[in-house]
Amino acid sequence: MELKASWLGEFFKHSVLIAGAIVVLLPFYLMLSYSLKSPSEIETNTGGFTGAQQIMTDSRCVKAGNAEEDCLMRPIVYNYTAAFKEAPLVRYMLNGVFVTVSIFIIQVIVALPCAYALSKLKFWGRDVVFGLVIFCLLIPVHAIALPLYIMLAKVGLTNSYAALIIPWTISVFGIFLMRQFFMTVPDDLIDAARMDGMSEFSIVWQVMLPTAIPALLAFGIFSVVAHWNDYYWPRVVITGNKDLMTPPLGLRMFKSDMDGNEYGPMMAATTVIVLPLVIIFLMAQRRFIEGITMTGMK
Amino acid sequence: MAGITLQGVTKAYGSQSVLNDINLDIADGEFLTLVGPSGCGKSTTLRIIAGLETQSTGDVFIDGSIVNETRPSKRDLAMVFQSYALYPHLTVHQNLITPLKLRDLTALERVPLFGHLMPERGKKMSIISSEVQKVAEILKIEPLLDRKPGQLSGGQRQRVALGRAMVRNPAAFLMDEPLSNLDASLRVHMRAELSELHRELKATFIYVTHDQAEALTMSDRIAVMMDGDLLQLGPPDEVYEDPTDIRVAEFIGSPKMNILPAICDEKGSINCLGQKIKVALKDKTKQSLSIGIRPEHLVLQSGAKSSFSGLLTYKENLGSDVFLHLDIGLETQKVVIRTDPQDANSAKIGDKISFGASPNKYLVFDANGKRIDARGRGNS
Amino acid sequence: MQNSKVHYWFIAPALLLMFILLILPVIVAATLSMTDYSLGNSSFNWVGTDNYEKLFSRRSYAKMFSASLTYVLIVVPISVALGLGSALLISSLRIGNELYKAIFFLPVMATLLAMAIVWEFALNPIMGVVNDILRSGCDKRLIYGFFTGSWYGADPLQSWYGAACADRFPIWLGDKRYALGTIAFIGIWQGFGFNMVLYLAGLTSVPRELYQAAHMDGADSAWERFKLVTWPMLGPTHVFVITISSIRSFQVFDTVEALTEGGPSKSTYVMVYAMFEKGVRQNLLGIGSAITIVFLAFVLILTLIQVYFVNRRVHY
Repeated sequence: MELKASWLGEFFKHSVLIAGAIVVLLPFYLMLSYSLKSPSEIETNTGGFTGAQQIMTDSRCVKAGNAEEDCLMRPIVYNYTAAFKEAPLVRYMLNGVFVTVSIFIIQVIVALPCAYALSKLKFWGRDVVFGLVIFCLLIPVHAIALPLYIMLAKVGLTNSYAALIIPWTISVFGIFLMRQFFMTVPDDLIDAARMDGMSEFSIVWQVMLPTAIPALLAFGIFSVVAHWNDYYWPRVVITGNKDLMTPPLGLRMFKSDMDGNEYGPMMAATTVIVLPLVIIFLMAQRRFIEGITMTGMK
Repeated sequence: MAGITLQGVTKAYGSQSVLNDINLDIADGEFLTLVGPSGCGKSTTLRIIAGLETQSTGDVFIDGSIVNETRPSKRDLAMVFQSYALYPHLTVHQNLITPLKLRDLTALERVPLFGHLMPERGKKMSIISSEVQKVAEILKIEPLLDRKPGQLSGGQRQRVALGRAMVRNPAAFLMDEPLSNLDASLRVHMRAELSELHRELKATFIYVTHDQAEALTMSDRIAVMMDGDLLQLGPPDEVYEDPTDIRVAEFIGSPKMNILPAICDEKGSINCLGQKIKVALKDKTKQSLSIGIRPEHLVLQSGAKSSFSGLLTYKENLGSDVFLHLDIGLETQKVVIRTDPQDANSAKIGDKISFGASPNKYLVFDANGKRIDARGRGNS
Repeated sequence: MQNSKVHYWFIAPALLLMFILLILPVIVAATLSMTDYSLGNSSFNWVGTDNYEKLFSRRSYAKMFSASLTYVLIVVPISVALGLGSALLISSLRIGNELYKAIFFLPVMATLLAMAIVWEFALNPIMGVVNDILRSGCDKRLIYGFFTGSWYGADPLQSWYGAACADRFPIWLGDKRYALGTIAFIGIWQGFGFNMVLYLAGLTSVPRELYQAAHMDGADSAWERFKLVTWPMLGPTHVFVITISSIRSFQVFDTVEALTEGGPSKSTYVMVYAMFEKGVRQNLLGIGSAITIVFLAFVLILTLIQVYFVNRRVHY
């Protein structure tokens, strides 16, 4: 009896979760599927997941004056080549990597020594500084985007990499997180390093940094995911200059530049932009979920 | 190798004083233990010697020269920490090498990759390596050299921490409760090893512990500290037999010394728990006293007139000895007698037990807890 | 060491950046919200509280507040409930929990703007999959009967589904009755996985002994044990999840900007979008700053509520 009931319960739970999973995965399925299909298949919703992959003519290629037989290709090839041709996707991705990595590195350079001082050095006013950090935790950077934008505009920095990076160089959350972590590092370790002859500066980078790798990794995942996906801030400070656009902003430009029914290439571009994080996530799932929950307080 | 001297060292955090006028002269090659309950200032004293904290007043001398302004790493001392303080991200070998690299290589030679191009580096590194090898052999940690601290047991970490101190070949070793994170049997074993190591290295050891047994077993001299004061300094036997302060008497020795209240009248006769005690005081004034007797100095006496008595409340059998806990009618004080199992055999819980001690075993303390010179007369 | 000054070097950069990038902007916004400043103008006028008065009197801003609040009130309860529900289901599974966890967390990781564009396609009234699926149910009697209520004798045309089958299905993002709900749906889709992992973390911290004790005390059904142990032990997690979801959904922007641009007829005109439109697009920095300040006040209130509950929880 017990066994039967529990199997029934298990079956019921799985059905509910599978139904949920279908809804959750629907857009990912569509994105991949559309990026493979020909325009007509997309319009009529036929062709299953991959489409028939019948040879099609690239109308733009023909318009550009090429012979018709040179412009024949499979939809999957058409979609992905068009995506890279229509929009500087590679450039967007490189911008994205450059911006997120720079942000993370600067955040660590600023936050780590500060967190070390707040947790391990005794000095007058330490509690005041920490109180200020806590206070600043209350200010969401998205909320103060407008004044930041005005300040950057005043110093003529809008439409630059600096504009994309500067506002994020200070992560009070990072300081807070690292300080909490450093509190758990025994004082003995730092005293031992001092006895070994390390300067305070070396202690931060040669002792605290390596011991803090797990916390830094969590913070890194949080920071990179947030800034790779961030759309609001790039939208505010980058106007029109495609050379500076990050992947989400570039995709948005693609969408508004799109003429007619270029859904295929559009979805191919989307896939290219969404996929890197998704793949890394699936490979290091546990770390990601831990990292995001650990840092979930923001 | 060097002697270390503290002169009039005090330490205060704001208005709170944690060390009062510490004077200490540690000879070259001596094993000195600072012992006391937690918060007595023993660790602070050690950290001041190390240079990790700065004294409020007073001077620290190492090998005759004043080091008040010298950075910890330049004092030629090595320290072993309670939590071992090994770098968790480095292997045992790297942990052992780090202090030497920082001391012997120039900043330029320590630069990654580029440093390898410096001409002197290779020679220095081979000297360092052989130094590390030697220490690893002494401590028998060679098989562990490639592991990280996280993969080691407590005892192994302890050895590596010792090794990290030894490679520097320092003038003195400072040890801050190095054994307190080990389990009981390993701790006893390590005591013997540390003593042996001290004999072998002939270096100065300054050892901090709250465990009086550690202090008694290993040290040449022990310094008992309490409430920021250095109460007594001397060889273990002397401190045990001849404590100058009631706090020392109570702290050293296990089970604790029995302290009994007593009154001395103008004629100098002392009354303790209704018994007259045959102890002569030089200063025959009326005063209240405390009499201290170690548990092993109390003997069972069947029915003698001049003996104390109490009700047996608990028998603590340790196999080789038996501790008898007696209720002597005082709220706060019980008496513990250490005796042979045979002698204790007949005693039952609830029995009335008579006991006494030879008067020359009585230690007399005045109302302030200071030891009074007193002479016992004869046996019982 | 005690008397060294090295800590100045360690905290100075952080302090400086904190002041310039976090505190100064708040001061700037507070100041500009009292002016009619525009970028490019050499001067400005002090207008006192005019901007705030506009904010609280004009109809378009009333729509803004109502859009933001409605969005939060839809997204927070549903995404919290879904998060808790899926966490409870997943944690009780024998197999497959890692897989479901990964799937439900996927939208949290994926670039929201990109996924919003995919949803826009899916919701396209003509060739979108969503309406296709809905439409395909109209000629299946089983589904039609169930959803229109004609099974139990109701008039099918009176029901939402029946009427839509007879006429046409909504144009979702293009219809002011549906637009905000649709945006909220995407918000829920994106966010509930985050709540789920927070709840899963909260569930693992409930000591197993408590459940065994509940068994011994006679809490025989799963529901009894949920009421007695799980729900109260999740107290701190609830507070946390609810405030985090509220603050996050207050900040909704990507979906609105990419899919509806605040429309149709301002039905999705949420605060952050308004801030962007007034301040950045139309260069009306005074009113934009005023919205910024009001927005900050909302977030502050939410955080203070959280702090209050967390502190109270600690002593229960």
